[in-house]
Amino acid sequence: MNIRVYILRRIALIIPTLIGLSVLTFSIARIVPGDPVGLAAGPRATEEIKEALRREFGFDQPLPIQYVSYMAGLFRGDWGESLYTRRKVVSELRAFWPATLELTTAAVIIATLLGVPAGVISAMYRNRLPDHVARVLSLFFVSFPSFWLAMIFQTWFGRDLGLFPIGKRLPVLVSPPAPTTGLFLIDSLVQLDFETFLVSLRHLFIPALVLSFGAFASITRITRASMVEALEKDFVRMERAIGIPYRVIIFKYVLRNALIATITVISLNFGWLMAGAILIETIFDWPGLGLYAVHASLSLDFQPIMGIAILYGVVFSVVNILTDIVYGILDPRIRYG
Amino acid sequence: MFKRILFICLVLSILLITTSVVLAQDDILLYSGNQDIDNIDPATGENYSINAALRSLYDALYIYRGADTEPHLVESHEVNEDASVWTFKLHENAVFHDGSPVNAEAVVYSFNRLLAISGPPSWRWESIADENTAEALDEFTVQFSLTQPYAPFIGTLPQLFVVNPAIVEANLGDDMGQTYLKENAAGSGPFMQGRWEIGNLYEFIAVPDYWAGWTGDDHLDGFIWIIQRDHTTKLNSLLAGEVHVSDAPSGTEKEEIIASPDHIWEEHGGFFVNTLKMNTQSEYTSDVNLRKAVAHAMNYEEMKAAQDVSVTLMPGPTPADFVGAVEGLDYPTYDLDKAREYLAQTPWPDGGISLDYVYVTELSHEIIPGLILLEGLAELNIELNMIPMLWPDMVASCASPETGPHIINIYTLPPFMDPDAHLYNQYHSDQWGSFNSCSFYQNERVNELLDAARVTGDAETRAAMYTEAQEIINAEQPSVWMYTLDNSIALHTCVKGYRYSPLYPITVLFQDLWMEDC
Repeated sequence: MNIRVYILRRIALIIPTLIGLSVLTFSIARIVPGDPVGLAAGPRATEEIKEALRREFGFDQPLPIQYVSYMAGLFRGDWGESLYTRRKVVSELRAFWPATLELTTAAVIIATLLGVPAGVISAMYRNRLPDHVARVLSLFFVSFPSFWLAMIFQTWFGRDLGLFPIGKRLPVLVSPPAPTTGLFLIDSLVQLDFETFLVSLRHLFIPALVLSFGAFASITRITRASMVEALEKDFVRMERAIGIPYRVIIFKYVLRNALIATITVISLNFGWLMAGAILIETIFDWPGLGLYAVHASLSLDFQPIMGIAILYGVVFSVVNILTDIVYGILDPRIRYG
Repeated sequence: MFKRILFICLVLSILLITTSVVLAQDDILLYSGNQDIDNIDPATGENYSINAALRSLYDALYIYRGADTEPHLVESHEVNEDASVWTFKLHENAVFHDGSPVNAEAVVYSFNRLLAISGPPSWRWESIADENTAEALDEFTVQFSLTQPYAPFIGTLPQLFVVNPAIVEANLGDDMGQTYLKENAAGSGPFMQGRWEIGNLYEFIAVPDYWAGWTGDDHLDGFIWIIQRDHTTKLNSLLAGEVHVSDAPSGTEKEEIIASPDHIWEEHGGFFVNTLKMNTQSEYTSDVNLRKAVAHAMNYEEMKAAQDVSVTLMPGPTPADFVGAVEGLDYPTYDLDKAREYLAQTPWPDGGISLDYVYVTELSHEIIPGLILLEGLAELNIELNMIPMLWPDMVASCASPETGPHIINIYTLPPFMDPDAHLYNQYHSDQWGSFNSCSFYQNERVNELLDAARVTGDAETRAAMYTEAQEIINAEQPSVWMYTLDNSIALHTCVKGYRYSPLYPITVLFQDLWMEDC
């Protein structure tokens, strides 16, 4: 099958996936106990005010009608309004999403840059000191809760040593770059504002590093395992026998084979990190979607909860498609079908 | 290859670490706020962070400074004998940020808008005012003819922020300008809006020639409200010098902040009152002796020690320092023998009953008292069912005596310094249905006293009425009076002009602050 047809087919498959996701999220959001209108209206609100709010947000309608009405709005580009902030969900997602995307992407890049070499070295020096060090480090990072590491890093590097800022995407007295993508690193580069680029990189570094630890551990371990398996293949023996330098064998042939599994883990981590960024965002005051999602969940604010779930669903699907495409690039034997 | 990568990493690290960053700027105060400012419409927004913004962006007729209520837009006032007609003369030099005068018409417009929208702040006036109440007698004289006399009327006026009618009318939309004013100010206050990054930070810029002048030796050029919800982050930011003031610090941070020579820890008793309201209309807790037994079964000292925040125990229905509090009341202390004596006078002298205790889900401040009471009541052979609930469901359960639980943990904060603000909404039977009155207390004499005090101008007579009302309430024990939360705030020593205000307990009055050698 042609790759274009394959991609189109995968994109088409996103629609039923998202509909399923929306039904699930809608149902869960509606069955949790609590009265969102009471929460939004405040304790002194009269029954009339609460009723008016219910009517305004359609909560007085039967659930199937509420769902159909929500989905109809979704396809028109109207993702509803937050019951609590009374702002459009789309504009809130637009405001908060870039911060999470930037943080998650940076964390995945760090995890990959550190994890793949660590896995390779670990496999190359199997059961020797570098391997032990890499495995202990992986175990350490996967075992320690990220919020604890975040607080330790913030206190050491931010407060005690003063090397990095405590939190936020930029110092509060620095205005953010004019938004093109909402990603400060890219926006500042586009505007050739290198000072803001460096400052925002400085703010991003520790949160992204801490967020990357869990992914680093899984990438290291899976790379090591795949490398060890690949190193035992016949083609490696043959290549060594004909005198190809070991480094060339490792980086040109073995790693490429081993990367299929690593790419899968990286793409899965991208989704997990995005969802797991909530704690890191809270500790580093990172104004992203995580904090917004927590607030929406605590206030039973249905429309933002739905909006976040749909957005994450889309991102997961897109990352999965990209991963499939990368498989094909890494291993030409893979056929799309 | 590896050497090249290492070299690039090294250069990048040095660049990152040495990049100069503007952390602070003279006379711009960086404030770490625990809460978002998600609405700055005076007709619909009300909580501690919103009020801090409203006080900065708008002016009100009166203002709280410390524990006092001071005239602000008002130059002088007159009131008739039964406290039903209030006439205020306004300062003639007060101007909105666009230069137009803050006149009587603007006050009338703002008041009527508040009533028409009927948002959270309007409850103060809904029972005493309608659309004909406010009237402009001349350009700078405004009169309020209340629908019923109300002696503590002035106490409500710090929340009457005056909006610029021209700006509201120009952005009226179909919701009386609510959408616009939610994020845009139309006021005359000491500060104007700067950067407004929703969910992140809010900048306030000082009005250079503010009509009311500045009260301190100097004033801020502005301040930035930075939302920081995590306690460790707040502490680290403060100690790293990234913020000058941090509100609502937790008790665990106290030691480190006190140990820092550059910081001050301010802690004051407040009026955020915690009570266990007992449903006086339901089975079991309708019996006054059972209520007394419950109140004596609470180990107050143990509860105080177990809380992770600093609290002050209540000496009866009213906090000790609150205006009109009666001294020397015979209020309950932890005494199981006394509890047994009271229980012996009920139809359940040997216990064997079960009471429900409702609290906010996972709120440790409310779980701890429940667990301690559970232990005390177990000694009386009374079972306590701990029932967690979401706050809106708790509010809904207080709608009627039938749905109200036996015991419910409620926090209340009087909105102004007057016994009426503390007692009326909790103990007048007209207030049944609100969470404040979830004990469904009814005593005709108390009702009479609270009603009469509202329309009595003479301070001494009013005080006597409130004293009698508190004595009756204390004797009938509709609640277990627990504690008031102490309020803490951490400041850099370079921040000057801070004064604790029990009615703005969590935050500061920015217009009174200035900075020296920060």
